[in-house]
Amino acid sequence: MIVNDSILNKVIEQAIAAGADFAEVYLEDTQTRQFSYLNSRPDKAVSGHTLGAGIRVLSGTEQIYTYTNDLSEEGLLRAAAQAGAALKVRSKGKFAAPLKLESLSGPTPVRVSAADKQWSNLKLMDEAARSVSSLITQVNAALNENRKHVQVFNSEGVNREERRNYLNAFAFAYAEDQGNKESGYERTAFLGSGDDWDKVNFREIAETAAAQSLRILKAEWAPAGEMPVLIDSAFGGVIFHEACGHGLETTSVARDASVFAGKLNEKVAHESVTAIDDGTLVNENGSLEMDDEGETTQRTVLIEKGILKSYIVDRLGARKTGFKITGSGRRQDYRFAPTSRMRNTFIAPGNSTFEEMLKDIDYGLYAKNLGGGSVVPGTGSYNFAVNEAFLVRNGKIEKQVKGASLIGTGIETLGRIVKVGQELKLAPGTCGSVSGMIPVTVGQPPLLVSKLTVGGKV
Amino acid sequence: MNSVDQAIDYILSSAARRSTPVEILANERKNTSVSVQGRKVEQFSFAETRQVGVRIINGHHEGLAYSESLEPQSLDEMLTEAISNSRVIKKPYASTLRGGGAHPSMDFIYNPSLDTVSAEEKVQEALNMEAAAFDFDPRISNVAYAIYRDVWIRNTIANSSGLRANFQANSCSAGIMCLAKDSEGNVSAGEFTVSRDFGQLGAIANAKHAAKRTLDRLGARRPTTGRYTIVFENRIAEHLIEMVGSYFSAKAVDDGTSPLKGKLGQKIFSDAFTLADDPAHALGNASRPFDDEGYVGHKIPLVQNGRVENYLTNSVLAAKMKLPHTAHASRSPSSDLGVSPSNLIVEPGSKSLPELLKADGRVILITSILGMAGFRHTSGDFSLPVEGFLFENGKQVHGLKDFLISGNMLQLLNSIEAVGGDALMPLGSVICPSLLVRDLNVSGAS
Repeated sequence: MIVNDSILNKVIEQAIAAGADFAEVYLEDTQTRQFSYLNSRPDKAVSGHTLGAGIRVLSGTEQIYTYTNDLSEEGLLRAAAQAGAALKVRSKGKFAAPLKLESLSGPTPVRVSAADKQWSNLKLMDEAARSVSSLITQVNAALNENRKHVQVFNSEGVNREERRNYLNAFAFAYAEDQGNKESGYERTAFLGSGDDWDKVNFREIAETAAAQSLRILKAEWAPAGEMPVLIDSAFGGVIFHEACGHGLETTSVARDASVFAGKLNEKVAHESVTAIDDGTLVNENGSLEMDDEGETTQRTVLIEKGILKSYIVDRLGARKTGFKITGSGRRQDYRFAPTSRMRNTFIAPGNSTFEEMLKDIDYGLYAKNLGGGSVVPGTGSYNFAVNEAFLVRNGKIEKQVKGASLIGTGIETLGRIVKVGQELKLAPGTCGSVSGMIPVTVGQPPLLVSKLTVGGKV
Repeated sequence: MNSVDQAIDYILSSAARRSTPVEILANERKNTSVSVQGRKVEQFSFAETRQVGVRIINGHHEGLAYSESLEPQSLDEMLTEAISNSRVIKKPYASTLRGGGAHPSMDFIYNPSLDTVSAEEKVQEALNMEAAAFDFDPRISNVAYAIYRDVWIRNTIANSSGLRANFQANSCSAGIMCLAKDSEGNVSAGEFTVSRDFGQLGAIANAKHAAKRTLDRLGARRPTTGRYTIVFENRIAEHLIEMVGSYFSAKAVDDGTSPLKGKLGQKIFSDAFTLADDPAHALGNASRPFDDEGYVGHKIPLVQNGRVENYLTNSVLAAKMKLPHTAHASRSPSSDLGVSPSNLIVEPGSKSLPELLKADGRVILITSILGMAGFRHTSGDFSLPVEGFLFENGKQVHGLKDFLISGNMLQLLNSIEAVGGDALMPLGSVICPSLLVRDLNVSGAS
């Protein structure tokens, strides 16, 4: 436990007495270590300790949230009193006696890895990237370990804690030729112990980043305009994340600020599309035992054969919409109140082969490697960057192109997914929204969209 | 340990006992946030936090650690971790700690009256803002968000060489996004405003402006793919300059990651483009009396009529690269020493926005960038989703949506034909008027 139960009992009692119908304390104690390599030598070593509490009170759908680094009894009681006093609408809540602390932990026990091993891995990445070509002029490689211990204690009897150990490795490689510069990037991120670093192929990460930077350096600009796009697997799943996922979060749905609001059990996508948000996958970047509201994580089918089956629902979202909680209340850290967020989100495999989909394209784009993206939930307009793309003509890959961002609107794009491939692959990512930056996974098999707008050159 | 000042005293003493030179950065922060929905308070949030970080400097060796716990045991562990980290990290050049001395006061970045605004007044401001948008016109179908925020910070730097200085700053802001429906679905427009004076925030006027712009967007269409004359409205021009700000960092140049490496003294931008960095600008949100090594900065010309004049440096890079020391060290308690711009200021031109919009028979005014993922920082290439309005012969014709602009940021700054005279109080750390460029790639309908 981070703070003992008797203090937390007093905090919740005080908040309820002030007129809340629900009160919650979220406690976090996180140790981080970051190591990075630049200019072919150790560049940075940072150790950190994050410690804080977020206190939330609800009265109906009104939410008061306060957070503090002061975890003393006085500090927490003062914060709870201030939160209660800020309520505009008073309720008569009940305080269910909390259960004995239930300890959950990630799928593997937490162990801190040896620092000297980390530096060897970073050196390996630097050397591997540079050995790809003499045009690689700079490499930035980094390893982060983030040991997060969270505890949720609320007025409905929840008293649970979980330890989550995040491992994250990435490499940036910079290529330069005749005054032109480009960069390539590759990462891995997952839940695991220090021993699990041994499962990472550091050489492959570095070589992938280096090879990508060289390919982009030599690529011509993508064409501009509307065309069919074949989006590859793994991080290609960011298209669903942006085009649809954010619009299914009750944060947007409850405000009627989502194009998916009011469409439950309606057809919102091509019948080839089944999409799932699953927090239960072992060791994936977005996996959890419990969410940041203390709810057991779930596997949530969002769209089944084109029909909208569920939204992504947190506690406050459930109060506002009446939908059942899906264990999706997440937050970056104690500085953020939880909101409905995605976990590991992916499109399920279909029946088409890659070659069949390629053959369907007379003139279009094969988006092999996607970058980040974003969405305006109110209009459904989304965008994402394509790091590596290829021009397709008459069903054949013609040449590599660069600089292509893709845009569309959520429901329209879902309707234009005309074929879904057979091999599902996942990729880690970081998602930014109302409750901060959180680890997630995206994924999909290759899929064919009949028309998207490609941002290239005329 | 109750206060950050006590924690700093403790760390200095502890480091002295270990004969370890140390630099301490501490950030204290108080903030409030109110969001409203449907004329009711949706969330009221307030907080008080702090973070303390140390940078151990032992010759060429440096190590970092930070803590949010001020308990003596945590502070000792932080020092031990930083010392351990410093054994591995050997920098090519040794840092030196700035000694004690006077710092100029910068009273304008802190407004004591903002600290006296009550919670009720803040809530009412947010409610009034949302109401102003709904009441502006019945066609405003929804407000996606209406948020009031304020923040107070106190940054302290101290080191083993006797430096100990701090400053405080505060500001408040309001943001709103409105929705309206047309035959193709929702259109939206958002506006933000920032001030150090609650009475001058103008949240209601801001909300009305967002509502009006949302209605102007009803019936927005896709432009046809092609090359267009483009005006980046001042708020969007601020974003463009922000995107290239880090190119002027001597660290990025030294690391070989800035496309401006080797360009010092060269004319690579338009004659119309002049840019400076000023850490003491009265309107700038990044104004500060000293940088994160404790050195006092002043206005630095970065680009003069298209010629690259300076890179920004900290003390280490100035010595290493034999460049002027511009006092632009940047780090937080949890990050390593780097270089960042403070306030970036583009010299205004003489033309008004309406004059810029008459530059051609057909001009696109860009009023929103919907995402930044399509900017490739290393090369400057961009492919960005945007929204705007079509102007013909200087008259607004209709809104534009669902399109992208593509090009290269260095080439775009080289093709600036005219700079407006309409810079606003900045939302961030860039002050920039509207910019006119020709012949930019637009991807829309085929």
